[in-house]
Amino acid sequence: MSGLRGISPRACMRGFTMVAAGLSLANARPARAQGETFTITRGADAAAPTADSLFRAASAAMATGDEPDALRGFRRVISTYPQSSYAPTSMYYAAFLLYRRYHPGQATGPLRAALAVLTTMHKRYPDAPQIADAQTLQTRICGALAARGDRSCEQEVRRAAHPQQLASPSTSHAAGTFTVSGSDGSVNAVAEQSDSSGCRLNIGTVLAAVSGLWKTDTTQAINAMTLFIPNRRPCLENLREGAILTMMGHQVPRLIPVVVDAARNDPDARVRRRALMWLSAQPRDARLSAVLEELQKRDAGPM
Amino acid sequence: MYTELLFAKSADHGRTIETTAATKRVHVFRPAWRLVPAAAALLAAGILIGIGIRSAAERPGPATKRAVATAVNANLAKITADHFAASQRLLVTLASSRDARTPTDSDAELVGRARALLSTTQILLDSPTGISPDRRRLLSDLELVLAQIVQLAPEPRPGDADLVQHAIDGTRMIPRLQSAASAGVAWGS
Repeated sequence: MSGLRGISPRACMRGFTMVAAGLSLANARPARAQGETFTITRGADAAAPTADSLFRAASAAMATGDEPDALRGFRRVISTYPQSSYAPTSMYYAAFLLYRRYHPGQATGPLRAALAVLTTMHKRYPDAPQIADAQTLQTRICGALAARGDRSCEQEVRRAAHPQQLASPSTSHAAGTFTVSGSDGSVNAVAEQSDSSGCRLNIGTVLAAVSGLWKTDTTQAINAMTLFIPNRRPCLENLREGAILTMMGHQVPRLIPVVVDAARNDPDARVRRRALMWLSAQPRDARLSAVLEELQKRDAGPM
Repeated sequence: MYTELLFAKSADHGRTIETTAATKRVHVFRPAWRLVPAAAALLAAGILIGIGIRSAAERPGPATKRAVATAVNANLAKITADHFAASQRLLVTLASSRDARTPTDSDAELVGRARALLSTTQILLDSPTGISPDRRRLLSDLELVLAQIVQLAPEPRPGDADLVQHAIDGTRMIPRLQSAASAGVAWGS
């Protein structure tokens, strides 16, 4: 109960309204399922706004910062034209706008509403091109909910931060296949490997999970770092760079050797630079000072 | 008589000797038993003080904390400025590719870059310190623009690019990023 202290009834009502809005979005039935109700007169059809025009109006509202109007517009697209190609995009945007309504410390209604929309999106459009981005957004939302004590989200974030593809100890320095779709969306790199299946990793989702873990479970976040940072597969440089960025404000002596190794030996210059930056913000002893001096001399480009 | 006296004295002396021996025994053994708990307490206190000194030595002092906080802030300022500059480059490239009206593979590459930048934007937004409210607001606006660019892939519908451009122009994103990037470089360097 103490967790509820400080939340005004108005905020609670707002939260409930948002959950209701999210659920109504989530429960909007596809028009195809409505049978005859979808058959409308030619005159009304001509007068009704098309999916395209509704979507454009909502997008225009989003572009000008009128997020409530944009949310209403996307909701209309979802409920009126669930079979159009605009529907999954509208669901993604609706979830995104709901998630942006949340501010740390406030009621979690918008986050839960956004999560409900994304869950429905996964069920209804499992093959939509937006699914990978929706997964990333879902993990990010779960990270925020986990920070507010949501146990199931906590587990979800932990799972997302330890993807199966990276679980194998042979991943470090391995010359294996790697098809990565993630942070940059497309297939980044494919190397030869006997295992033809390879792996696909959504880097954005993993980073969203790790960023969430730093707020809820530092031990797990550190474990994830020891898994990601030494992983020198060429297609994972965005993951390594992003992982170091997630811990930029944290002092973790246990990770210093791992990051020193990255600063010395990572094949990617951006990762080396970021590793050096992180090390420069750690409490220094004589040994770390000497290592930093050595690395700064070696690397061109001042800090 | 003398002998009796002598014996008596001797007997007294014997008692005295015995008493002294007993006293000596007490002096030798009784204090040792008393010292055991005292020594243990002393040892425990010593260990505790040692641990305290060690942890105090390991715990960064106020000066170290200040130095670390300064370094974190400077790093985040530099990273954010670089991030703004990279985002600005992306938006300018996107606008020029749209003007050229030649959708190519590079569009997918641009969307890929946007996705990576979106991820970095969100990590920076998660940072509890080191980012000013102004920069946080810019990051938040940038997040929304990048989220729209990301949705251009893989098959943009006609007019989608116009919507994104409208979002970029409507938020005055390019000049804001340019200004924040140059200010950040000046601050972070």
